[in-house]
Amino acid sequence: MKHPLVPSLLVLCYICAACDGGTLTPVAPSATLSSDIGLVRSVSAQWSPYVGVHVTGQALDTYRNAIAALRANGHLRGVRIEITPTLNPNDPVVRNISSAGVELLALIGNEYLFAENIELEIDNIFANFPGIRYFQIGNEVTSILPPTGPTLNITQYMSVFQRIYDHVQNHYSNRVTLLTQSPLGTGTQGPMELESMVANGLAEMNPDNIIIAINAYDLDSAVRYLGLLGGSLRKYRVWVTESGVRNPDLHISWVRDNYPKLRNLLRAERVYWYTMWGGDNGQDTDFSLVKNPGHYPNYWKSPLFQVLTASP
Amino acid sequence: MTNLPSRLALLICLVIPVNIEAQEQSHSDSASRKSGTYLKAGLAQWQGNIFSKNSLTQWDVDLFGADYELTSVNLTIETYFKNTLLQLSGLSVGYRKDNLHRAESGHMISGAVFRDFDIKAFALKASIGIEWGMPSFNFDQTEFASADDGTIRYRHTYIYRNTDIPFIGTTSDGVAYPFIELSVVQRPWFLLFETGMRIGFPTFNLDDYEVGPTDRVTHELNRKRVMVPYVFADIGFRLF
Repeated sequence: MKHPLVPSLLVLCYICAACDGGTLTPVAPSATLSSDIGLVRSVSAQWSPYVGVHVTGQALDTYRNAIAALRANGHLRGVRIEITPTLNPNDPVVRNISSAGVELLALIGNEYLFAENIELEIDNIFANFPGIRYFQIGNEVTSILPPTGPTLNITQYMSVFQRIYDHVQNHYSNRVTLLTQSPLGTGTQGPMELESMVANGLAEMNPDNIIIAINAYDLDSAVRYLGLLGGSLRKYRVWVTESGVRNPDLHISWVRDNYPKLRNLLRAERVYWYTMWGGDNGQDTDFSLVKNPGHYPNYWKSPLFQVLTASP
Repeated sequence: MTNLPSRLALLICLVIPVNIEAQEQSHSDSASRKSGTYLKAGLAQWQGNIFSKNSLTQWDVDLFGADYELTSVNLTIETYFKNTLLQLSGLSVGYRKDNLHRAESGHMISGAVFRDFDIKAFALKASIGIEWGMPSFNFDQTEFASADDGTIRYRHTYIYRNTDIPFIGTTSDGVAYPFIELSVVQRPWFLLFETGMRIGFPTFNLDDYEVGPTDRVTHELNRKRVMVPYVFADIGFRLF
């Protein structure tokens, strides 16, 4: 055996076996889940008490109940809602969340970005929601738009964002903190968009008044932000405005394993779980912490929700 | 997971060179300098506690008990010249995969030149080179603390990404930094055994943030070059 390949083959086998991509471990729903004290403590330690909520009256009672349960265990401090042109400022869901003492982050919907007089729209929104301090200007703006409607590229987005930023600095500088749009949460498109936002003036804005928002659905994408966050955007705060996994059996391990990584990598002050309820069917449903609000009070609770609402 | 490769590395470091020493003694005495190109594969073991200690340059030498551990595998092609060239004995090009649990980061390519000195049964080898690539995110850490008044403080410690990885991602997602390496080498027959330590000198950012209840942000941003050592053990064979 003149050229023994065994050592290198062994190493290659080892690499292949070891590079598992950080596979999550399923935690199946179980009646005893919430009584597993170790599990409850480990998930609670990593959980970030922020959740996205779709504003819909269909789930009012379930939302009220779920929010109270999370609040009772100290697992809900803030909620992200979307403000659309049709949203009534007195919407009972918004009122209920506010009256529960939960802080609101308002996502100003992408359709507003096409308004001719965006400053007037912003004035109206701030007047209609006087209790809200954090406003996010758009979300995944290059991918979440009606297929038949107008589209927006990052240069155009930053032009609108600059107008809003200037308007806020002139009229609401101590009242409002702006969040950027969250770039797409998977693949390399998001980091490239954020880099383009920097090239279009983002890094010239005051870090006291801007928070960088990122949607993080996989770590492959998250690590691509590191050069920007440690470079041009080093002085800026970061919030992860959407995260999670589309499989209820993996919700717990996503929080336990990946929330700490998102904090470490992105220095994310907050991580918002994508959604409390993403509908009972459709592509967002399996991100849901609760489902079947029509069956209130016997609505479905995800394993993660069960753990978060269990007393440690 | 980390214990098996660590033990293998230690075994290779300690046992194999001793066994080979006895067999090779007479051979190395009589042979002239041996040239050749080798393919090496090996394991590397990093440990330390650079995030929680005050000094980033402190390295915890408790081999299997440190808080921070990282295991790597590497593949290197190394050429030994027949005669020294500009005081150099050879050069090497290598690839190292750090943090075997993650596929998307911890890919480092290195290039080095070295000089070796024959000392009877083995050779001492000193190398200097550059590592370039996408570092493991084991080197990124953030520690948070909250005060009762709502103030958040955190320290973010991470390798400063100072270069581009072409064709993928953003323009600042890679690192390049110098390293030095000291090792012991034996090249019996067509084989190569090597063990030693490499010390990289990446630049780290150490950033402190304080966010007040009214969103007032203060920072203290620091940057310093840090010694990051690891031990390794390689086995190779001669290609030509």
